[in-house]
Amino acid sequence: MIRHSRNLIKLQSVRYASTKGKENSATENLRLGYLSDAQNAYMDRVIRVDQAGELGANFIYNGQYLALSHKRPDLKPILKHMWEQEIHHHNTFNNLQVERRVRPSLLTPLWKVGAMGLGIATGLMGKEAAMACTEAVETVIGGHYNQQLRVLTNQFHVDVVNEETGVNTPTVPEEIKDMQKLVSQFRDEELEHLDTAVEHDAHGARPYWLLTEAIKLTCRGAIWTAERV
Amino acid sequence: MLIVQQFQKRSFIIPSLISSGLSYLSKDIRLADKMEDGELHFPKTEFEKSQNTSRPLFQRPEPNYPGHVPLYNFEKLLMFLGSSIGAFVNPTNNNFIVSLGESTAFPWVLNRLRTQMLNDPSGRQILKERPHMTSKSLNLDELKNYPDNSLGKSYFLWLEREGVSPDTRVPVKYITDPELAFVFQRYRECHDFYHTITGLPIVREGEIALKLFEFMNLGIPMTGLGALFAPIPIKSSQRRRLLSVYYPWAVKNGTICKPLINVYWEKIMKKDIDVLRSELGIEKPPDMRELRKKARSKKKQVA
Repeated sequence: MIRHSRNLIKLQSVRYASTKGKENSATENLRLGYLSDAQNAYMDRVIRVDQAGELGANFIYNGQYLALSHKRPDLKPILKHMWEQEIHHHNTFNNLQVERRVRPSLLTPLWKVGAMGLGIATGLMGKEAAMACTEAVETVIGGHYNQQLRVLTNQFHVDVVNEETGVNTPTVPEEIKDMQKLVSQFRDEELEHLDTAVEHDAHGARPYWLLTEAIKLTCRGAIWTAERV
Repeated sequence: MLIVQQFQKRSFIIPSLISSGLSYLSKDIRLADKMEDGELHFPKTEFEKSQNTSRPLFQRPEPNYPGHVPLYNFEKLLMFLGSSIGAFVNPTNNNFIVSLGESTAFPWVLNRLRTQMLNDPSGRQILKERPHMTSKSLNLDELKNYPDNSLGKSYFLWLEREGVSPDTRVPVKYITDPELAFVFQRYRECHDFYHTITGLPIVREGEIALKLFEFMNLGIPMTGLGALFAPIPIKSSQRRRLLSVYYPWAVKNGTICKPLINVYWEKIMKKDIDVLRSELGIEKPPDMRELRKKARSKKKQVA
């Protein structure tokens, strides 16, 4: 308890690890541990960077929609569908952020401007460039969600002590498992966007390699920064 | 004044805010980074660690043979850039030529040379025995007693005339594969025999002519680069002589004659050099030193 005393400030994190545990403890007399500082820090990071990322995606699609909807009305339903999914992701992470009292990324205004700019710029370059942008962004994001899933699966065990026998069986709390499901569902949806982009001639963009690699690099840099500040 | 004061105040406040903000953030960043690397809660098992074969970014691999310096490709590229500029500006500096040769000795070039050697009995013998030419292994002192016009004697006379020694050859350092390194080393050591058999001197002009001959015969990129770019900065009269006399000779003879990399020079020291030339299919070019002398005296007469 003393080791985790600093965590008490983060009431939400306690809730995270323990609500489902209470039900169990009524029957089996199990005592659930807390998330450690590091686990809390990582959980905060996941929510912060994902919120910023989905915000960015939201703005990218917004920009592309603005730039393309007049020139290519045939693309409107596709863009709209992907955009709406991103809005849903964004709202989900907004709620999580409030719920867990996670500080948003300090550079949020920059992410907004940058994402909107990227969306409009690639949109103005044409359908292929816009789709190549989507392809590049979703590639990076898919990989990033996977990395988060890996950590959420391997590193989020919490002490579960049976008070009668004193046996400790570290398990992943249900709340973390919900988070895993959420992340993997979002990842699959992002990768669907990737497939959609490739189906709509993302590879026809010129200069394809330069464009996608530059966007991937930018995305990785933005992710790295948003994870930290 | 007020503005200045405000400015000074801010210049103190803002950095302190940033640094305190960073120190507040840094702990969470550190912890989250460690989580991501899997260092904290469920550290990697020994098996997982052993599966991780990634090396530190700049750890040099072990050398493949004595004297080998393993280089990354970008280092080879830098070496190529530096040595090509250096060799162009100052072609008499051997270091530039040596590193230009090794940085452009791509595996596919040397592999082709090795295949050529493997297809020839004496080439195979050379690859098997890996001879190394020094003044000792060549018995330089005995060479002078060889019959006149033998390869050994001509080689000895050529060395004396040009004032060089077989010991000045630099060992190969940067080629990855040991056998390919030997192939390149062999080329380098045999270079003086190419001089002997063609009679070309080691002045700049002679080296350039020989480079084209070697490129046509062996296909080593450095020699081709030399033949292409080295004539640019030399005197126009010399360049004219090269282009009219020696380049046509080099193209014809380098292409027609047998692959010189397969000649086991050490074993045929007693052979008559003219017989050897006709066996290999090389005709001797006009003596460059004579031509140069003639051109000089003509110039003097005109003047």
